[in-house]
Amino acid sequence: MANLKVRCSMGVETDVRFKVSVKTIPENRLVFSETFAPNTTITVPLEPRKYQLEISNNACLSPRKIVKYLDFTRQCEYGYNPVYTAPLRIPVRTLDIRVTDTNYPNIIPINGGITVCRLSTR
Amino acid sequence: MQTVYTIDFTNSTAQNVQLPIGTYAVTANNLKGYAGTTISTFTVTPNTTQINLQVTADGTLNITVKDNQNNPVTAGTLQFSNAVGNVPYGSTVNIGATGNATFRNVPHDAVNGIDLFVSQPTSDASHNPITVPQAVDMVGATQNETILNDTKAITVTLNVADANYPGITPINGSLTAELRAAQ
Repeated sequence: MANLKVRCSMGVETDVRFKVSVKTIPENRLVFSETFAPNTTITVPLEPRKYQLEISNNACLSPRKIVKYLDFTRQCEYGYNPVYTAPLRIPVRTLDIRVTDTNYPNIIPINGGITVCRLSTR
Repeated sequence: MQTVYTIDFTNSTAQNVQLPIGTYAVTANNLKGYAGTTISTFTVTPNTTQINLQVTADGTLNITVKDNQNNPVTAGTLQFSNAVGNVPYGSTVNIGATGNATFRNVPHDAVNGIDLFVSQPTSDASHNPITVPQAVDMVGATQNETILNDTKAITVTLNVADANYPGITPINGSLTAELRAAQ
């Protein structure tokens, strides 16, 4: 057995989860599939054979997916327990935001702060 | 855990704000004049470059328009404007028969107040419009103010003559008149 380690980095996107699935090659048989919080390292014990590793996030609007082919029959892969770090950060937009009074546009220059909380990644 | 972002506005604009794509709920917790009010959700897409938010204040400004004889202005309108009076803000508000007019959804700030300017574009028959805006400092969520609008001045020609010898001399100089009762 060898341990496949996967760590998913999403920056500040702590409300997004990532999914790791491992399938055998060439049978395409699913041997592992689970969802995790970002910035955690998971360990998957695998037999010495070939696999397809798929890492994706659950951001519906702009999901990211990484596919890697693992050859655990090779001693170097088998022996070193490789760690795959997947940067699945959701794209960040640079915006200008303007706020105006609904009833009295431009009645005063509006100053101060608001806080925004992401409801969904859609 | 939800990620919360703080966005600061200067003169109604926040530039170069970096947000991940998604839909956001907004809390106007520190927006001067609009604290605690509600702003609709907005969505950032992969193509979004600008977001326009609208905020609705929750203050109420009651204004009574009276003249120097304590008589109400019984008709007309009031209007928010800039300090000069040449840029109106929002819709006019009608003055009722008792001289009262109410502005709703007015921004207010308990600490520093919000400087507003009110003019009176139209008036009743006995009072002129107020074209020079009057300053109002909106501090409370509900505030009552009185604006003075003197009785309309009529341009008239006065003649004065000697009661016994009319025309005996051309009378020169000045006299003073005091208003005893407004019509």
